[in-house]
Amino acid sequence: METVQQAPKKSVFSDWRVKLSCAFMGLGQLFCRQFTKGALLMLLEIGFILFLVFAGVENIIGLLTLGTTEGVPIMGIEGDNSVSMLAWGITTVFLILFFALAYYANIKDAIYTSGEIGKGNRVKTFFESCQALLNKKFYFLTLTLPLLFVCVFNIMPIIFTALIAFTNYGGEIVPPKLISWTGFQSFRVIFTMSEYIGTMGKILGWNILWAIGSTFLVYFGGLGLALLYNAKCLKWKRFWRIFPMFAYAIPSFITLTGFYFLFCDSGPILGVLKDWGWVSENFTIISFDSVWSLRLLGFFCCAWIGVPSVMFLATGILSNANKDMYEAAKLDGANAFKQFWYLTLPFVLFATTPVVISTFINQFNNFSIFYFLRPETVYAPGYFNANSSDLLINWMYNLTVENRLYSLGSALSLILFAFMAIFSLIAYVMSPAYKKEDTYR
Amino acid sequence: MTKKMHIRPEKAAKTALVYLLVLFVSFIFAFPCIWLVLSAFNAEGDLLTLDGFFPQEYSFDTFRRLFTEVNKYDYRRWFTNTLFVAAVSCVISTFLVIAVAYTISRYRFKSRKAMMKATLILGIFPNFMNMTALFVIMTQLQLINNLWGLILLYSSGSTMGFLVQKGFFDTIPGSIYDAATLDGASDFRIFLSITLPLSKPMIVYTALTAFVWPWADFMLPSMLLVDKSSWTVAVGLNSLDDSEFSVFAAGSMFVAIPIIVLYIALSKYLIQGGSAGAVKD
Amino acid sequence: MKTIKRICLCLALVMSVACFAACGERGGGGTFTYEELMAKFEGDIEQNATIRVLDNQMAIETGHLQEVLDAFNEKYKEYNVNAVDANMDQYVDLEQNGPDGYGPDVLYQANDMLMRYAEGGHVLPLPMDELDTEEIPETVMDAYKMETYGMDLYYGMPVAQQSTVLTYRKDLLPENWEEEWDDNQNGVPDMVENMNDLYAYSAQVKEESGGDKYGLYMSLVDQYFNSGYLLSFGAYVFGETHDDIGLNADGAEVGLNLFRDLAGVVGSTCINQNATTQVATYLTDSKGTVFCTIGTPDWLTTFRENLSATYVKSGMSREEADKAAEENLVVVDPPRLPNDGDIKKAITDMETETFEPTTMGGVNAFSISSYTKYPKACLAFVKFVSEYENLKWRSEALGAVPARTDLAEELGGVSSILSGRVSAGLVDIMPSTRDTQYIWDPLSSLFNDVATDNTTREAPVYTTAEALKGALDKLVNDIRSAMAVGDIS
Repeated sequence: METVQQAPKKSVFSDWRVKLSCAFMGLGQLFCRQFTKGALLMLLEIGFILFLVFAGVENIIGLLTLGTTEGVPIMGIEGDNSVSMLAWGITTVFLILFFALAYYANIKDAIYTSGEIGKGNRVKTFFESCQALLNKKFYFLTLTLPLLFVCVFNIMPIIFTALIAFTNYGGEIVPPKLISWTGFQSFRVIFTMSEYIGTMGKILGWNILWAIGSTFLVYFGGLGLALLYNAKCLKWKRFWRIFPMFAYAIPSFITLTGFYFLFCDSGPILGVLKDWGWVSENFTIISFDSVWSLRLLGFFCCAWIGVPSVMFLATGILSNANKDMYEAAKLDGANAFKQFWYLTLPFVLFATTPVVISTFINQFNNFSIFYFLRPETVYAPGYFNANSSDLLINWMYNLTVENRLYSLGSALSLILFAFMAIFSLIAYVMSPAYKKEDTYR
Repeated sequence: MTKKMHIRPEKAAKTALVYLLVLFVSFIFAFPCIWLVLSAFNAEGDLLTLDGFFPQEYSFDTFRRLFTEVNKYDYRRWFTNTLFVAAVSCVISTFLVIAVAYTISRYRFKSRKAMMKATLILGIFPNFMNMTALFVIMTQLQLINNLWGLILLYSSGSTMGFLVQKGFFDTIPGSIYDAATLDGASDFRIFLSITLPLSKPMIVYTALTAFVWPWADFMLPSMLLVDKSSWTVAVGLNSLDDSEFSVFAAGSMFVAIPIIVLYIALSKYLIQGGSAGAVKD
Repeated sequence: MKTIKRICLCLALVMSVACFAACGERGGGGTFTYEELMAKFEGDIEQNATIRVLDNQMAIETGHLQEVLDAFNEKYKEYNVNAVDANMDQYVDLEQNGPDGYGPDVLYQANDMLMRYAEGGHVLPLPMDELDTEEIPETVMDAYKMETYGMDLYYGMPVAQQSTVLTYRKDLLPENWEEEWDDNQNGVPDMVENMNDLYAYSAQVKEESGGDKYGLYMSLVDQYFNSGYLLSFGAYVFGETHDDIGLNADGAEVGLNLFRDLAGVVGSTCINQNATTQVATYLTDSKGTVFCTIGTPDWLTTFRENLSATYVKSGMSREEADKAAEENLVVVDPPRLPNDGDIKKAITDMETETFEPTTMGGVNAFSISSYTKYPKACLAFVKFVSEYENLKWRSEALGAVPARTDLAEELGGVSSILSGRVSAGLVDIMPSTRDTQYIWDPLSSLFNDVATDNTTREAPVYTTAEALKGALDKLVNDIRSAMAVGDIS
């Protein structure tokens, strides 16, 4: 590459071997006497052309039309399955992009090799190229498989979801019926139907409150606990730390179901409170129209589950803290509170900004808390397919999994994604770690 | 001297307060666990039969039912499935995460920054926000009812969390690598003989988190496993009736206890690993 | 920035092309004759067929399903048929799993679910001339009828019917019930005969026990059990068209008020779906926490087992306990309702002041998935389970009420009670249409709301007929918007 850039007078494409490689992958390499590499590249292009002829073109057309013949399952007539056509269409687009990348790399390689030949250097054999790959481009080897995984299981579903938002998939229109592209209809429905926009407003408000509140609670709860367990006068620290370890280790579906049973109407906590006469006979925490009692219980459970992990993190960070600073501060006569406020907090805050952001994102999308705490799907008045404690992600679940309104659910997840992206971007830019990044490096 | 005498009672009060707080916190954390364990030994299955907080009568009956009434709950099957998924994805994820994190930390290449940013953005979009899409893709890949489908999802999902491990690798000084490179060691050798031994706490941490996620997850298996014989413990236990609360509690014990033991045994690594990765961005 | 712009441009291009392409021709469908539709069932059973049978949880847990499968496989041994338990959740969604081949081949579900599948083309119309349906009442058969290609086709073989009945513990009756609680001297305790006395008795039990015991205990949020109160006073689900939702018809608010009063005495612990499972413990414990419950008859088997276990614990022998449990758990018609809907007043003449209530009902049937590879083997299985002897076997094993009237009569007890109610037109079978799915959640929310209003709410709102009417109007609106959204999406 670099050698090429140093000689800009002549166009890099002027070499005939480069032109050949532009015309057909691997041809140029063949004429540079790199036979194995050239053959492999040519095979790749032939394979790609064959793929396009036999499936690719069809898949792309399928992506555009989403099927043309409807199946009649009761007659055993298989029609087009719009959903799988969508999936294969996306895959084909991915493959084409990948091929374009490969083509680009192939041309670059031809330019490089022909340049080397022009300078009179010996061309690398296939074995040497492989060795170079293993050594200089080690990253290429280690990243290929993970990248493939991420493409198939993370990026592709996101694109799929995004595209679904622009179709009418869901409700009555599921395979074998044909799905069609409907543009922004789902968004229109969400923003114009009073049921949706009203529900979304209420849920979004609560969701933001929840995310901020629970992040705050978990973060400072964890920090507080870490400081508490770090206190000099506390003996058997390792023993005491076992208790939060329980909360950290028990799978959350167990914890939350346990809490549901503890606090539900026929559960022991209410029973005991009623026996003691502390609450009235009619008192409930988890019921159909409970709003704040269940929300507060949600905060409690969230803290129970989340505080220990922040605590362990903070413990680790505190043990890294510079002891000299504290000694100096002590000499200056700073009391414990001042030490905390001016030394510990800024240090820990700086060190854990990414944690705060990821905690915030996780809490914003904390599906399981209210899924397990309100196991019955009852919808509250004033909400459409949701209840007062539901977060956006629970609502999305209700729409897609419970009520099969896929396109609306997908549109909602796009909106949710936009919100999250903006929120975390702002949080990231405002964070001390971001601001001080340059000074600390 | 007099000053010191003054501080003593204050210090004692502080110690007392610390212990009081610690006891309170320990109670909050321990009580639900104890309650759950005791309910597992409830002679009657139902939540309603509790007397106050605790069962009236204790027995091992729920455990017997858990393992013998196969028509109702095929617990052994569920447990084997869970163990298989968690163990295999633990191995694959650990391998992938360490490889990716090391690569990103150690090498400078063109798309490096872009990849890190893309990871941050993709992380905002949690896996099950696209449940429908995942389900469709898995049907196309013939991976419904297939534990390998889950393993693939967990492996690729945990690879997305490589930033913590990358932060750890960043702390290894570059001079070590330079010296080794001068000695003529290949990159792969350097990774094996220098990086790996240095990052033992990080690897333990990675393996543990990679094991726990599939072990405790409910959403993905409940979506992808239609056939009961492929169910994991989380799906199976959640399918139980409310009147089977003791069975639920008993079944949870076998899921929770191994993890608790692992965590306590490896707590040193957990604290080190988690914080090492978090300190840097 | 440049890349972003380029991506946007590409996206816009793709979208516009897509919109254009979407306007293209689309074909498929067509019409078929009856013979064409039934052709797949003609001829011998496929060799080596494996069919997955989805049955309800109870059939699996009691082992009944396995016995039936074994018997079926034995009978068709020459074809080497292998019918197996589908081993899926009993509410698995055929719409989602069927097209990809992960669904069951034969499935047993209620008529709203199965006919929803039928509308989507996921289950097959059955050749009714090959099945024995003579003894099944027409109202029951109609639940599975759907017009397809201009013909009336049936999409399921009705096996069992469901509706609500009242179950009570005879041994918990007050000592003096014959004097105090049998005004009309017909030998049936009044509190299980009409709602007013049940209300009074529940209030009395609650007061005497300090809130630890219940007269009536049932889920107050169950849409299925409680919608009968609306139906009895003139409400209906769908009229001629689905635009006509009649759950707020005139008079329904009287029924809703009756429900509200009832909720007040039943109590807040029942505002919970779990109450349906909890009652299996409460009704059968040694303390006698609950005297009676209203629910589906298939719970009776569980009640009997639990009660028998309780008796065994208190020192009875197994046989004695079984016999006592069978004797002491009595099933009767759901209690009669007062004409004017006021259950708080005392009834003097039951015949003139009360009427037989209407309840919501359902019909469970076996259907065959459209995606099965072995339609003939599936049909053979459906035929097999709908044979008289096998239906009887099923009813005895599971406590299900058979759809056949002759069998219901032979079995007697709860079967003949329910079957009689169906024949008398007192059971409104839930509409067999996709749109039925949209009524359940709003209904449950309504019952939740109204029940809460008379139990735990600080400031009750549903104290006037207008307020109740408003709640019903809102219910209908909610159902409408749910249906509208289902259509758009």
